[in-house]
Amino acid sequence: MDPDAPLIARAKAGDDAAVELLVKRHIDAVYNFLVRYLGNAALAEDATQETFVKAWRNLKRFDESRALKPWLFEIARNAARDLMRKKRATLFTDLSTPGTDTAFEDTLADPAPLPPELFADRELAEHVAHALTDLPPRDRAILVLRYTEDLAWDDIAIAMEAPVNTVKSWHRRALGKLRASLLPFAPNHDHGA
Amino acid sequence: MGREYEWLFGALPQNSAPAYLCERVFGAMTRERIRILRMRLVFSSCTGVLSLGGFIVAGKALVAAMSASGFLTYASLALTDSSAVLGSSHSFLLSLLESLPGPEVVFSLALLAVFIQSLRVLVVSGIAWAWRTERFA
Repeated sequence: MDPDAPLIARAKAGDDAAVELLVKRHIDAVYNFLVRYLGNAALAEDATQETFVKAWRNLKRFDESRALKPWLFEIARNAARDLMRKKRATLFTDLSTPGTDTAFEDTLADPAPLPPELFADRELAEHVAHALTDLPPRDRAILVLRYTEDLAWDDIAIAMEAPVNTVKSWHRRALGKLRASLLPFAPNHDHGA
Repeated sequence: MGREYEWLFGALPQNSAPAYLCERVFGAMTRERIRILRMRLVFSSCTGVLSLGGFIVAGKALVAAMSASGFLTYASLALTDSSAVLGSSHSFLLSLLESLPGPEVVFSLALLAVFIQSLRVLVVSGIAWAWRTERFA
């Protein structure tokens, strides 16, 4: 059973303290995800607020036998998209129809391992953060959910509102793109490897 | 392969939510609660007024239908000549039920139920709204 289930049941019954506990328990994860997804702390704050208000409003319809976290990330992703639409941003390249990726990406196998010299780089965190912001938001979301939030494939599929196999395929492509973005930071490595 | 990416992402600093964000979220929830309560107040006021008006009209129609069907005459008999009524209670009750204007009674009772429910929601939402508004202000 999800450890949030008893709190969710109390929150559904109108217990404000349970709602506050749930918010405090998940706010860091949601905020961190939104900062990575939107690439902007101020927008992430607005989206975090919207996420929890929407979650609270729809809590009565939530089945507490399910895990709360993937559901929160699903709301967070939608809140972020709505926010960006309102701000008429053009960053949402992943909102375009599927199949617009290049043929190279479509035929991509599992990405090759990362060059070892990359891991010795003192500014690795900066490079990874930079490489992440270069990725389309959908890829960023999958990578953050998988490697930062440590979600299982099923949970990522819920958050991304897509079938598990599709998510795995997106994940493989996202890793390929990330690797390509990181290679320039490993100057001694043979980039063709 | 997954491990090295886990390690890679582990190098990223974790963005913790600023301390004020929790309060901001709770504030937004309270505002949303107040908005929902205000909507309930408006809606229940409207249904309350409409159902009360409807009940008054339906009540007048019910009284008219009761006198037209002879129900009131039968009912007054129970008060004026109770010994005769008790003597033939079975046939009296049957006549009383037969003369009852069914549709008017059902319609009036339905409007009364809507009015009572609206009043209940109005009182409960009103108290909650006053409490939240006072607490939030």
